[in-house]
Amino acid sequence: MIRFALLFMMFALATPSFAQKDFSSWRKHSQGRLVSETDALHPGNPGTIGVHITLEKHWHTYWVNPGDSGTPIRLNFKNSPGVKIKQVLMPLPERILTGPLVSFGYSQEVLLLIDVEVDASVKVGTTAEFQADAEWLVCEDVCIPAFDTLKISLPVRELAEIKPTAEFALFQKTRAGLAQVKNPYPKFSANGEQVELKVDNFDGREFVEFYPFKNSGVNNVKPSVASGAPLVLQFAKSAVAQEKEGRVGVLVSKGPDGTLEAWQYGDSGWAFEEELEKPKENVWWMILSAFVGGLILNLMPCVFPVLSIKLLSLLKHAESHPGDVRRENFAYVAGVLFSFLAIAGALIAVRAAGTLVGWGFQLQSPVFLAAMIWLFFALSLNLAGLFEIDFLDSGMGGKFARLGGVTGSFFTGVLAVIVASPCTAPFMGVALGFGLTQSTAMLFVIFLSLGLGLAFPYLVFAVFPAAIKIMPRPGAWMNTLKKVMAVPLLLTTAWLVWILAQVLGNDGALLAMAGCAFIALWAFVAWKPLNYLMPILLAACVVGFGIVERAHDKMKDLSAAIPSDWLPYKADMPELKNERVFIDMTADWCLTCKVNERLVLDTPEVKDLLKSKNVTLIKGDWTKRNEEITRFLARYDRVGVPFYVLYSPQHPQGQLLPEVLSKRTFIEFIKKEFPD
Amino acid sequence: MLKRIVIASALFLSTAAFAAPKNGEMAPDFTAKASDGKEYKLSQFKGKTVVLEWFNNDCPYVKKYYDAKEMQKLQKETTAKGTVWLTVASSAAGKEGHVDAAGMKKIQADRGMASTAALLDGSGEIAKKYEAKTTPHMFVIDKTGKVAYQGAIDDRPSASAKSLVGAQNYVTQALAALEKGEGVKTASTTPYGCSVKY
Repeated sequence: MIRFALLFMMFALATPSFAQKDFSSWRKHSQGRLVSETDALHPGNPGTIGVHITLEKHWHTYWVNPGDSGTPIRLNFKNSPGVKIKQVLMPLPERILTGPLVSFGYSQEVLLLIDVEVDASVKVGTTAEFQADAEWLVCEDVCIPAFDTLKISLPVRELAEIKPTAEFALFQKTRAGLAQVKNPYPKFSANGEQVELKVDNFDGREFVEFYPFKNSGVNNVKPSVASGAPLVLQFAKSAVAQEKEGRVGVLVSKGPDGTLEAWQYGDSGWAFEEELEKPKENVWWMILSAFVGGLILNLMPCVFPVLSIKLLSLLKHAESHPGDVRRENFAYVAGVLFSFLAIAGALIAVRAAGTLVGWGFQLQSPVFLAAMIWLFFALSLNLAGLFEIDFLDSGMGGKFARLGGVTGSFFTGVLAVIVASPCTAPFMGVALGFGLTQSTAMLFVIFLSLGLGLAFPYLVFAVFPAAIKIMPRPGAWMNTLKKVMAVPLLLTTAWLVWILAQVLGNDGALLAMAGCAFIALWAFVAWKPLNYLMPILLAACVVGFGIVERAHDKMKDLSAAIPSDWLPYKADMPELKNERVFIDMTADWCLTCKVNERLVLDTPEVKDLLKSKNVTLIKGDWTKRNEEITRFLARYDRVGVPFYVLYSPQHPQGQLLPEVLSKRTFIEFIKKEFPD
Repeated sequence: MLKRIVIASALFLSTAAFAAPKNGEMAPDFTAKASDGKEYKLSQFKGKTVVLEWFNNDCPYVKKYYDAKEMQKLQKETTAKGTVWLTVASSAAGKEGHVDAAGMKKIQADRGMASTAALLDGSGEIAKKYEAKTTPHMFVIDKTGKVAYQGAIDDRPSASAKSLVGAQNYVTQALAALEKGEGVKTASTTPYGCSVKY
């Protein structure tokens, strides 16, 4: 038997616990708490907890469809491992009229029923912890949002030891008042400007009320009855189209014996969120991941050119004093750590300002790119022997030179971090994403760990300077090696020019190369006046790029060429709702991305496979700043590319793939996900 | 009680059938006094895109956008492109958010608002013509005077500032589509927020 929600609310009013509340002390006009039907739960068995909201007189809160204004409650659960939320059920609302506006909501109190289940693996004697970050709106004439973290812990016991709580009766009453899900159910049909709902087998019943679901395509105004049996309800059409056919509403009628009945047609579209509790070891695992990621970063192609400089300076030390070796390696380590901490600090500042940035974001800035191009070009000329200023190298002997060596090593460390950003090493993405969702302290720990990983080989030399003896002795061959090392640096320069051309177009690249020509001239002739002019020219160029960058910020959607079998990513694209979607977030400056595309995604086997499985391919190009993509990444707690996610009917939330793809495992993965 | 509800809703239905603005149809014209003392008529802006923003300074959902300076930013960017942005304050006298010209002027200065004008609609005349339901409730009217978008400002019906991160702004999307001469993909959504205080 089903009772009208209003009836049970009257009951509730009469209960003593409610009457004793002192509303005058309420500041926010409502109170929410998590309650339970029973005082404990049992492994493998269902249970019911609830969000109980009590409201001050004249204030109300909202149903799944709030009506013309307001919002339904938002619930985000974080529960202890092994407990799961199965469904949240809301009792029938009241129709509340304010001027021309219709609301569906609750006054005095409401209990949302939450069906939960404790996994059979959970042990008797432990506790099941439920936590819900809740936001609900309470309105009288004015509206006040309430935010609260609601908690309840329930012991896990043997069935025989479980007893009802003080709220047991309220749960029973609320459950009795719920609408029953009807299947199959009547659907809306358009009739000119009107929308109709025809309910068969309505003989002997009387229409009482209809509550449409949100975005069901009809106006919230109470429908008119065009026919009594079968019941035909006429609604005004809503400006918002019906979201999907199955979105109808709740019908309340009076049965032949005078009792109220409520039927739910279709689904409401309201959903709670649930964050699965991550086990505690994760923190350590993340710190370790960051360290390993940093260590592997040494082998990634981005860092290699800088390491070549570092390697040279290490070789020079092979015969020098252990004190020097120690000092310079520590300086390098300090440079690396300093840079990582600076990046972490910048990320925190930006995060506090409410915008989103990601790993490698500096490569989206033309000014930064130009500066890097000139620096690398100058370094490569230096290595090639065109000029002899040891501005990164270490000198032996004089006090000043030694100081220069330490400073140089420090800046080599800084440089290593800066150039490392285009590469995301395995393990790194997860750790970075994790760090960014954690407290400030944890973010620093993660970045420090990453930095320690990157600097680790040199840290070894810093701690054990004698280990340097295993390196070959310096000699004339070093000059040759130095010149050879100029080549990867020049290649890096060329690559940076190419990225700049992607970001700014050919004019920007030309400007950067003109700068390089000046550097070459200066290095070659070492013309004194030019020496003084050089910083001025460079400064002028940087200012020029600054202006270009501002213009560049305003250029929107000048999306780079995306292969024709891929769709360019947009936040509002309907294709995102397809059942089979693969998303590749990439950037031209992301070497890892390019390697994955070349070796895996763009190979004929993979392309044919994805095509035969009917997977919609979507590519987001993050070469330039793109807030839509940054936000998409943030949804998965990621801050950088590459990023791969596959949506399938089994995994509508998407499955993440590793940063470094292998063709064999990728093909196996796709075949497993889509066996047809 | 049931009878009263039926009568009230029947009354509303009759006005609704008369005025409900529809996408692709001419936006209802109106004339209103603004906080700057001038009178504005919607039809005077033909040839320009117009944004209507329902506003109530005390509504938490409006505050979410203004405290984060997001609405001001949006207004600045939009008006810089020659689009007209009309902020409409429809709270009736004695209700939350009701303002007179001086009050609105002060709010505009304090908030650093950058809309073209702030219309004083205490009578609810414009709000009724557009069936404005919530604050904020957004309308985008194209250069020919037709309604191109109506509904929520974004896809995050929350009053929490955190919800701004990752939100899809429907107004920005509609304006971008109009600018490119494309159809607006999401042209109507259910607005969220405080009720308009008629």
